[in-house]
Amino acid sequence: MKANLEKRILIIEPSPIVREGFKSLLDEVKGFVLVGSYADPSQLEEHCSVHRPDIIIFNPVLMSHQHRGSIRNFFNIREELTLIAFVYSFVDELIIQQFDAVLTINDDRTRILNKLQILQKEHPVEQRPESEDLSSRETEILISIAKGLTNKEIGEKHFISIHTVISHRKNIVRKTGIKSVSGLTMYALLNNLIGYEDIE
Amino acid sequence: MKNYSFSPRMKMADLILANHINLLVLGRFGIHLGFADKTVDEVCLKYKVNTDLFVLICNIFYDHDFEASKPQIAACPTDEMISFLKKSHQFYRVERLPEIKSAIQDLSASCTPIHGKALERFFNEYYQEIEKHLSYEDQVVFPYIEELINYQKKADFTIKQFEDNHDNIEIKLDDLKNIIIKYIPENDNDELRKLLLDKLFIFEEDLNRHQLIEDKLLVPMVLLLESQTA
Repeated sequence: MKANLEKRILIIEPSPIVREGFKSLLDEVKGFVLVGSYADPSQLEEHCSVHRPDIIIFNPVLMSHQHRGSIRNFFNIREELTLIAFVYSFVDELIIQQFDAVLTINDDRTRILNKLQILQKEHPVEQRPESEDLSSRETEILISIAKGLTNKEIGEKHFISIHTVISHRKNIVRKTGIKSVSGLTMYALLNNLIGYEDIE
Repeated sequence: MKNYSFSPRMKMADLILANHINLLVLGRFGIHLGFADKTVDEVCLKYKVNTDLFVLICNIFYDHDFEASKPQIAACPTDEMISFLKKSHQFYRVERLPEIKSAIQDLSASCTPIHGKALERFFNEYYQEIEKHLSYEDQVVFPYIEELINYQKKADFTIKQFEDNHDNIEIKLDDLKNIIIKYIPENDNDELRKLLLDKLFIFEEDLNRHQLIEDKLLVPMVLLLESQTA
C-alpha cells in the first residue's frame, strides 16, 4: 500500500451551492481530497475525529459573536491543522487573523488552487503510519459490525448518523486491511472482542 | 519484454520457459509435456487444439495488458473457449480448492481451538462464494453461449447481463491473506502459514487470469455471436 500523500479537506459552509462548488473543484485536482462537508460547525470535533482532515475550510460567518475568542480553542482544533477562511461577507478582522489563509468568493479556480498549493508546500503532509490501532469508538462499531448489525442499527445503537457509521467503517477497513463483514467477524473473534455465542 | 508476444511458430518449450504460468494453459487444453522441439503450431495440431486460441490465451496469461485484435477474436472457436473455461473450473474444484482446504485444516489444527474454528468458518464462507460463482457460469452463462453457437438463441438472456462479479471473491481472498499474515497470533506455525499463503497467491493469480480471459476474449466473442444471430 502506498503512503497517503493527499491533503484531506473538510468544509464547513452553510451554502449547499458553495459546498458543491468546492466538491467539483477538488474532484478535478490531484493532491487534495474532500473528506466531508457540513453546513453546521456544531459537531466539528466529532467530524475531525472521524475524517481526520489536514485542512478545514470554514466560513467565519458561522462564528457567532459570543464565541469570537479563539476558534481553535472553541472547537478544539489541533494546531497542526490548517484553518482556511472562506469569506463572502464582512468579517471582523480579529476573526480573520486566526486563519492560516483566506479564500474569497471572488477567487477563481486557479487562484483557489494556487493558494491551496502554496499551503501544501508550507505544511507538507507528514507521512501517516501505515497501520494504527483502532480507537475505542471504532472497536465498539467493529463489534456491532461483527455481530451482523446493519449501518442503520449501528447508528441507532451508538447514537450517530449513518454517515458517521460509514466513515467509521472506512477507517476500520483502512486500519485493519479487512474489507468483508465475515473477515471483520473473524478479526473480532481472533482478538477476543466477541465470542461464538455472539454470532451463532 | 513489454511488447513481446507469443506466436504459433515459436517452440512450445520456449513459451513455457518464458512464463511458468503458461503451464496452467497446457493442462487445460489436455496437452502433455514431452513435446521435444515441436513448435506451438505442431503441438496444437497433434492435440486438435485451435492454435490461434491457444496463443491468445497464453499471451493474456503472460501479459495483463495484452489486447487481442478483433480479427484475432473472430478467428477463435467459441466452443473451444468454453471448454477451456470449464476445464479451469473443474481444476479449481478438483485440485486447487481441496489443496487450499487441506492447508487451512492443517493450519487450523495448529491454532487454539477458537482461532482454528474461526479460520475454518471464514474459509467455508469464501468457498461457498466461489462455488456460487462457478456454478452460475456453469449453469447459466455457458449453456446460454452453447445455445447461441447452435443458433438457438434464448431471448431472456444476453452476455451484457453477465456482470462478472469477482469482487466478493477477491475481497474475501484478500481478507484471508491479511488474517493469516497479520491477525492469527504468533504460534510457531510459520511453515504452515507460508504453505497456505503460497497456495493462496497462486490461486489468486490463476483467478485473475481467468477473469481476464473472460473479459478480453469470451465477452467479445459472444457479442459477435449475438450480433450474427440477432
